[in-house]
Amino acid sequence: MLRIEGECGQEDSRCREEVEFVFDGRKFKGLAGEPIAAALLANGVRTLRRHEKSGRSRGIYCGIGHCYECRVTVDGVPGVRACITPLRKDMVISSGWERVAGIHEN
Amino acid sequence: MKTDVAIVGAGPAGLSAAVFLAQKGLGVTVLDEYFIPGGRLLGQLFENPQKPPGERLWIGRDIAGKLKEEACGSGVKILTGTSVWNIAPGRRLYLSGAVSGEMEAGALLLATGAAERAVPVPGWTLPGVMSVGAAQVFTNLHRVRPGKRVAVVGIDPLAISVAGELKKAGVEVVGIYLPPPGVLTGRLGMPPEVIGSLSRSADMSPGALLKAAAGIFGGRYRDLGARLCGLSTMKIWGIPLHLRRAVVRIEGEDSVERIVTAGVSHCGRQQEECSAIDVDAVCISGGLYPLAELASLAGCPLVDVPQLGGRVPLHGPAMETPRAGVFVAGNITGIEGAPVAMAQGTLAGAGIWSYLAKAGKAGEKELELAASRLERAREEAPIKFFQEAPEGRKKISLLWAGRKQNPEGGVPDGPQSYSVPL
Amino acid sequence: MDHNLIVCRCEEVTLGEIIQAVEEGASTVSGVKKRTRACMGMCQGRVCQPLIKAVLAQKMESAGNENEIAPSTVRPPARSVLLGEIAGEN
Ligand SMILES: Cc1cc2nc3c(=O)[nH]c(=O)nc-3n(C[C@H](O)[C@H](O)[C@H](O)COP(=O)(O)OP(=O)(O)OC[C@H]3O[C@@H](n4cnc5c(N)ncnc54)[C@H](O)[C@@H]3O)c2cc1C
Ligand code: FES
Ligand code: FES
Repeated sequence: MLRIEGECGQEDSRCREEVEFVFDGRKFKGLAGEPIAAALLANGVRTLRRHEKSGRSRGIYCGIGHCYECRVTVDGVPGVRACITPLRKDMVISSGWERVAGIHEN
Repeated sequence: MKTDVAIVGAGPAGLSAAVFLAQKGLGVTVLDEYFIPGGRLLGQLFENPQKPPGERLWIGRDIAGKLKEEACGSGVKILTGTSVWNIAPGRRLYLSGAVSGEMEAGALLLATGAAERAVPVPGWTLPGVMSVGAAQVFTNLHRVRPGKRVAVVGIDPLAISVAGELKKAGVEVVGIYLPPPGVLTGRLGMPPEVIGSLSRSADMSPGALLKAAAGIFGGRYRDLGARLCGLSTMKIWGIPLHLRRAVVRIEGEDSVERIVTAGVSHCGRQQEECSAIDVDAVCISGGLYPLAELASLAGCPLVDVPQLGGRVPLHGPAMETPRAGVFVAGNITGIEGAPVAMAQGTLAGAGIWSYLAKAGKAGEKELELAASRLERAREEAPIKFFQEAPEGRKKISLLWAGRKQNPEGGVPDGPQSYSVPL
Repeated sequence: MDHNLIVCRCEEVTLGEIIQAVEEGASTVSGVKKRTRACMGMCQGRVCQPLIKAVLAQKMESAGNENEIAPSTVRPPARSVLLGEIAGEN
């Protein structure tokens, strides 16, 4: 188990609600309000997407929104950074990713 | 959207400025793409043995929580989950995320902090390989371990501190290693250089290193450098610190399964490989650099100052930039610890208040007070990331003064970059 | 060092490709960027640009100071944006 038992970590240290969510068609449980990437890591899921060209698996790298390695599609919105986006009840997350504007054109 | 003051970054610098300005009666909006205010404070957790017993523990997330309460209590509006992706003339910000659209500000503070320098190791794109910063925030804040058995690559105070935090959280840390020697790692892969910088920071860095070194050398860590040179391995909290061994490869099918290490000669040449060590995660540390991209977009000139960690926006004594109404504070101006970032934030707050409220003498007084507090914070800093930072800051103030005196021949406005002969 | 080592994670550009770009005449980050796509990925070079500067510095033998290499200019968007957001939806 990767989750550290005992006190909750975040600012308001009241223990958070356990919620269900779906990642790539599979059901998981996580804590509401923790980053999606943390919920997946706690479930032993490290691969968040595959590289668009090589297909190699990728996961968390910087953990704070700088590297864009952790991007996933959340409830139909592509390009969401799993490390800075809090988990909500019944989120449907997938590693599929579509193009977002502008980035590749400069 | 309109606001008196827009602050990008809800780290210690941005929040401190926000508190100051709101208490002066200005409308303040803080924007941050993370979902909790606090910036890099949130993951920080360490002990400073130089402080009296009751004050030794530095729990970043609690300090961040207090700052946030204070800011909200003073009427600051904090928009989390909101990224700033462009800045146009006239201090017009473009937002995306939880709040999207445009925002126009009477004054703008850029407090975007720092980013980690990457250190590539063959296999580093495998899931399970992450930066030490990621390991820090997942372990200390979100309370999820990066792995069960973890190797740390890169030998510096942040890496050592995070290794200790991992161990405390129940992770088996197999060792702290050098990065593979070569063009991409340069000095970070050279044993004498690593030992040198480690021992220079050991005099001041918090708890870990001091205590470990003191334990090994019977309390005398003054000539730590000379003593470390004779060693190839030492232990810190029972974690092997390999001063002569590098991780040269990370292997695994779909995520990290093992590392391969090799000896490193005194002059940084790779020697024979050893048998692989099983791990399920690797944390890489390469140091920090100021994240100044928004300053560049806002048209602020940037200056290369290696003593401050990289390119920083040119700024004056009130944290103002040559762009009217655009200010900077915190790690965007050079890598330092959180207490310094807070003091810089308050100073920038005073600068912005003087600028917007035309506060005159009262403004000068606030600026003076904030500047002296900043100086004290620097003296008392438990961590000095760059030992030569004072020289770097001197360069900046010389360039700033030169620019004021000689607007023709001085530093040009605009997003150019020019190096300073140092 | 292994020339197959990935330096730009976003665009999977290797150390070998970057060295080749420099040998073919690239002397700035922008030059390397144009030839290899390194720095053109989603992170906008936040991860790889310091590394490319290090390679340039060494290849240019500029006294080993990576900070003297002209960086690539920052262009918006500094963060990825959905088309809808640019168009002013929401
Ligand atoms: C990984 C890491 C670990 C560190 N660990 C330590 C440590 O253990 N001890 C220590 O003393 N110092 C540490 N530091 C140094 C740290 O930078 C300072 O302690 C301090 O947090 C700097 O404060 P700041 O307010 O300047 O920036 P930060 O605390 O970094 O806050 C900047 C904020 O700006 C936000 N931001 C950036 N760009 C945008 C954008 N375009 N749009 C919206 N929001 C944006 C970020 O999300 C972030 O919350 C660490 C730094 C890093 C990067
Ligand atoms: S892990 Fe880097 S952006 Fe999420
Ligand atoms: S790592 Fe090169 S653009 Fe992201």
